[in-house]
Amino acid sequence: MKQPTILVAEDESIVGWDLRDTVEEAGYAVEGPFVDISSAMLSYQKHKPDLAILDVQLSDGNVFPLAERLMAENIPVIFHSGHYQPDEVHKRFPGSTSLCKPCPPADIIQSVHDALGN
Amino acid sequence: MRDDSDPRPTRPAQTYTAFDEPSDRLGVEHAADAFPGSPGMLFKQAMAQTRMSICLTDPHLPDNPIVFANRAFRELTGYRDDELIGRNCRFLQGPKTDPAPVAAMREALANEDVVIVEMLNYRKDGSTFWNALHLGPIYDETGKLAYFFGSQWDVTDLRVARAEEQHARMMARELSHRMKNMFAVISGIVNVTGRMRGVEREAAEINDRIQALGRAYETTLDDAASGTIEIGNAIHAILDPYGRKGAPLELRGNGARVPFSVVSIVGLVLHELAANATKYGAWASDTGSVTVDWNSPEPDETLVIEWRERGGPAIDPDAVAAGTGSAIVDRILRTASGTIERKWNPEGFEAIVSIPLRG
Repeated sequence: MKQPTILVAEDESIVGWDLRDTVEEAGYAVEGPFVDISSAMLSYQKHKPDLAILDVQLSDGNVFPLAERLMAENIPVIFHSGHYQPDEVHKRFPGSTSLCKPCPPADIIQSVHDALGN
Repeated sequence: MRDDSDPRPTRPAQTYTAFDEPSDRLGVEHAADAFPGSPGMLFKQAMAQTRMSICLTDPHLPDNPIVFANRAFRELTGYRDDELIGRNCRFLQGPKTDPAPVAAMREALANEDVVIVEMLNYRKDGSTFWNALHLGPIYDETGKLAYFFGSQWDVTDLRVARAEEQHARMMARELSHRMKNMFAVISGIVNVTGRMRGVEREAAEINDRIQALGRAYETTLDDAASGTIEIGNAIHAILDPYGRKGAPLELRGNGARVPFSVVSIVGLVLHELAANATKYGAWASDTGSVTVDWNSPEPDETLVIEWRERGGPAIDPDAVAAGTGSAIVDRILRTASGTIERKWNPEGFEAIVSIPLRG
């Protein structure tokens, strides 16, 4: 089976770096980390990922429109945020997963497994 | 004194007579409103004594002028009776008065509705105040519109407090965001460094501690202005991830307020107890449970937290004591002049943590 690809958007570079390493160690391919919505959008249009981990507030705006497009194509989204409470995100995206920053790597991987149905 | 408390308008003459005997037009002799004694006296005394600013306007006179204003109205606006009577209330408005509540007020007057609006009004000296204006029609006994009643309440302080509260909430939210971000960056640094150095396990252990602290600090933001914090909120947040994973946890204490300075101690100590319970104690088995209780200390007293495990496997004290966690707990508590008493009872591990509060 092909290695699943995960799109990572995170504007805090060290957090993005850590996310990339965390996800790669668990055996996934990573697109990113993208620091803004425009570059994440560009990557998504070139190559559809199997899942996305998105910080809610990126340097050029709110990630919700991108999340809507991903979910419209049945790409699961995990929100990773310090700005929004999980229940706030849940109201808008009932099917999504939300992780509160700072989130232990093990919880991130568990959420990825769950979202991909492993 | 007597002069000032006398609400009788000095002019114009026709309104004076009307208010000398208000019962004639206000309908206070109606059966339902019957008072013993003179209604005119009651009206005068009540109007003179109330701190609620009140005026009446006569819609049958041109431009619906004020025909009566009580002492509180004069004190609030700074105008004398002879400057008030006969004028439409709009002279209280000024350049910064929002037209929207004024329009709502006009509509209510036109429809003989009751309405409450808040608007910026101007005193005689030009200073402004926020007026919560309540107005409504008064009918005579035949059901005919007699007057409009207006009560004015200065809500300037209330509005300032509301604005400050809103600002404080916004700041707390932003602060919370930045703090979570900061903890996320610190965690990131620890993880990344751990991987580069090949010490991922140690890095993970450090991160668990940092994250327990982060959760504890997060709960203190709402109390940021007060100096003390409700420790129960922090205890809940510290232990929440363990509870969420299905580990039975009962938190009994509540309401205790402590100085902010003990948050990090409580955070680190409870994290180690929870980590040990997960590795060796009640949470290492499916049947175990943990109860945490804490007291409500007086300032300058001691915060006591009781940690009680039940239903776990038999514990080997040496294995627990050898962990770095216990050494860290002992060291932190010693620095804070606190103590921990550990008991390996047959029914489960217990710890009593005492932390003196420096007022």
